[in-house]
Amino acid sequence: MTKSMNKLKTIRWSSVIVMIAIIAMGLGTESCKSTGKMSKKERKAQIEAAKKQLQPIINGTSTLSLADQEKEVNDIINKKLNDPTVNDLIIQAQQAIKKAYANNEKLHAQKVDAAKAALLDMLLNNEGKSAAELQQQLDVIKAQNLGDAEVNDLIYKVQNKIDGMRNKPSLAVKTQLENAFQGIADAAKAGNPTEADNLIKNTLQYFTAPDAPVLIIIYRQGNTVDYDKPTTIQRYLNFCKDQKKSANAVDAIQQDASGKIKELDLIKK
Amino acid sequence: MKKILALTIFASLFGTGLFAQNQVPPVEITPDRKHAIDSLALEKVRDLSKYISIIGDKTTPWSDAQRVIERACELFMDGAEMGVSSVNHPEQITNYKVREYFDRLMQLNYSKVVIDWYKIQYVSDLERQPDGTFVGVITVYQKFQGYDKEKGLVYEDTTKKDITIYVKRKETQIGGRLIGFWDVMLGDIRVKETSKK
Amino acid sequence: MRTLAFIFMAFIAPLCAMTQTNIGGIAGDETVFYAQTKQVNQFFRRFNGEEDVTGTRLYPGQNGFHDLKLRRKYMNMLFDKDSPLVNSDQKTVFIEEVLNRKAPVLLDFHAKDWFCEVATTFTWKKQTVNIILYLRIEQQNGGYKWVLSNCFCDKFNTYFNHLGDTTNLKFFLHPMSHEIDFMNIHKALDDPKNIDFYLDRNYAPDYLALFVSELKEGNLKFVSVNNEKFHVFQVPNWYFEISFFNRNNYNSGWLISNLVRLSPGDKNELLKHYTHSN
Repeated sequence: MTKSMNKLKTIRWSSVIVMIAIIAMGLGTESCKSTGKMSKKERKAQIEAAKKQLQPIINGTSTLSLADQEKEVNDIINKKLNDPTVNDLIIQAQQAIKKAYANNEKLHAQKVDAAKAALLDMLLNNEGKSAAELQQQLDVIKAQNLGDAEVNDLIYKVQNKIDGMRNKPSLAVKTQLENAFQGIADAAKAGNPTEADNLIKNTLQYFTAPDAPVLIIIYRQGNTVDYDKPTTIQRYLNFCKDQKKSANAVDAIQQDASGKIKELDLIKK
Repeated sequence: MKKILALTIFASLFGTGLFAQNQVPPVEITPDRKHAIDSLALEKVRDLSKYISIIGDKTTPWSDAQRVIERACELFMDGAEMGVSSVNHPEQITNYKVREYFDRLMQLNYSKVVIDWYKIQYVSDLERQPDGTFVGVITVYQKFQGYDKEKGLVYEDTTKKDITIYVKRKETQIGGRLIGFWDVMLGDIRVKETSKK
Repeated sequence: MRTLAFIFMAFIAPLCAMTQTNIGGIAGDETVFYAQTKQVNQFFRRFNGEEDVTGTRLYPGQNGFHDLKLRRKYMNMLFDKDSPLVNSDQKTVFIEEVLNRKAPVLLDFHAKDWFCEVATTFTWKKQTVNIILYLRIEQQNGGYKWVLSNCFCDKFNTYFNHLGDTTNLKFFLHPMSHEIDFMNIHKALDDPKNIDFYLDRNYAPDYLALFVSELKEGNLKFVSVNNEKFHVFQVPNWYFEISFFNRNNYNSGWLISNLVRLSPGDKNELLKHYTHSN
């Protein structure tokens, strides 16, 4: 009921606007003809009106959007009131709008940067967040509608990652772990032990504890499985660093209820 | 000659706190399986060779070298030694404890040291000892070059390293699973100089 | 030299092209190392044809295992080419007999009829002495170990300088000593330097017993192992010795350094000779 009432009101209002516009056009044509003939009283009234319109724009208190403020200033310019105070106010208003635009851009850039950083963190997921936690974080960023191509690209990638985690949880972790092993080996090989140490620290967060057992399969034929001497994830990651190599692939992962890895099986590549 | 192929291991356990005390059931080593164990042993030797290169490298920071020496020592059985002889005096063998050998390697007085390993290696059969542990020897060849800041290359030798490896079948419980694994440890190493410049 | 070149072309060259798991990355000339018989274990494998031309272990049922053609190639490589103790005609006959189609001969690491001789240095009563230790493989609990079977030290011989002497007319226990409860034996025992005059002329001194005793008494201190070699009697009617040759050519590593054709009875004589046993 309220809806239809509103609709009715809207239609009526539109018609009124159209009618006013037509009348205004007729008057406009007439007033154009009579510009030079604008009475002193009328001009004074218009100057006062212009001042009233410009002041909130200059003060930054206008409730209009920046585009509407810009339009309003242009309308006043077009009236050619030729009043020094109004002219001065016009310049001030234009500067205020320009400044506001710049501020807006800066704010937007800051939001984009923050979103990018958050999205990159989500891609690495060093804190080992669950798919649901990541989705919640991603939805907040999506809602900002930043309209930035790079942000959108990252949103797409993070969404894929979350979908992947939901569909094949171990597969995503497997790739991440193998990438981490290779990354540690590569960093050490490139003579960057600090980076390797950081990667070790981050990778350990996937696990329930640094002494989570790691088993390395050296032979598998039917039911016969032979392992190397069991080690721990911390020792294994340091081994990748010291030996500058990642010789094993992830074969199986056992996670606890919170998704942390409590046992890892590797196999010779 | 007894066929290693048909070798059956009745590997006994010397239980530490970590390992189950029960008898490990007999294990048959097929050639494929033997190959996997050989590869595992060879990998330990490869790890050792990398550690030796890092320890000998003059650009390795002291603290890193110390950590790597620790890792290298962990590859060995307690009491393992390096028996070193030269081309000119093959009968004079100096025995070093492995840690002492690594320390000496780290402290060598060259401005630069280059340690390379030849591709060739030989892995012996695994022979069973009376205590059930298997023992083998892996032979590798190493080229060592010592540089002086001013004189350049001042020392070069090639050594044959015969490395004892001990392989023991063990079992342990991990997460409710019974895991059968091969514990491979390095033992004494005979270092024979084959040429010197 | 031509022979060496032939061996290289026919046998070593294919090894260079082989691919296998590598430990290192030196791309230099490694053919010498490929050719070298690096361990006694490899000597056995090559002798028996249990390793293919790329150095890969062969197992029963695999193509080439114990293959006579493969063994013939290896057999030629397993002799020290500079040894004056290897007669080329004897070598030819030896190879033919080992590779006999009807009854080829294989070496067995775990079997009898071969042993190791280790040359060592000790200090004995403050003087440096060379002692030869003899070891053989013994089975225990399903496994194997090397055990000391004998030793020889020429210094120990000085204890027995008068053993078997038939010329002395002074140091003996007279034939009626038993009637007096050997009350005269103290005269012999109080003069230790001449005690060996009183021994059975056929007595064979047990050097290993002396060795153990001297070690336990603290008179004998180990210094070093100088050298090792192996004496093999596993090929019927033949004895050969394996020694290590540390040299920079294709004829290096563990090689046959001595080859002897045995006539009946020779084996025991040789065993006596090489092990200093009696």
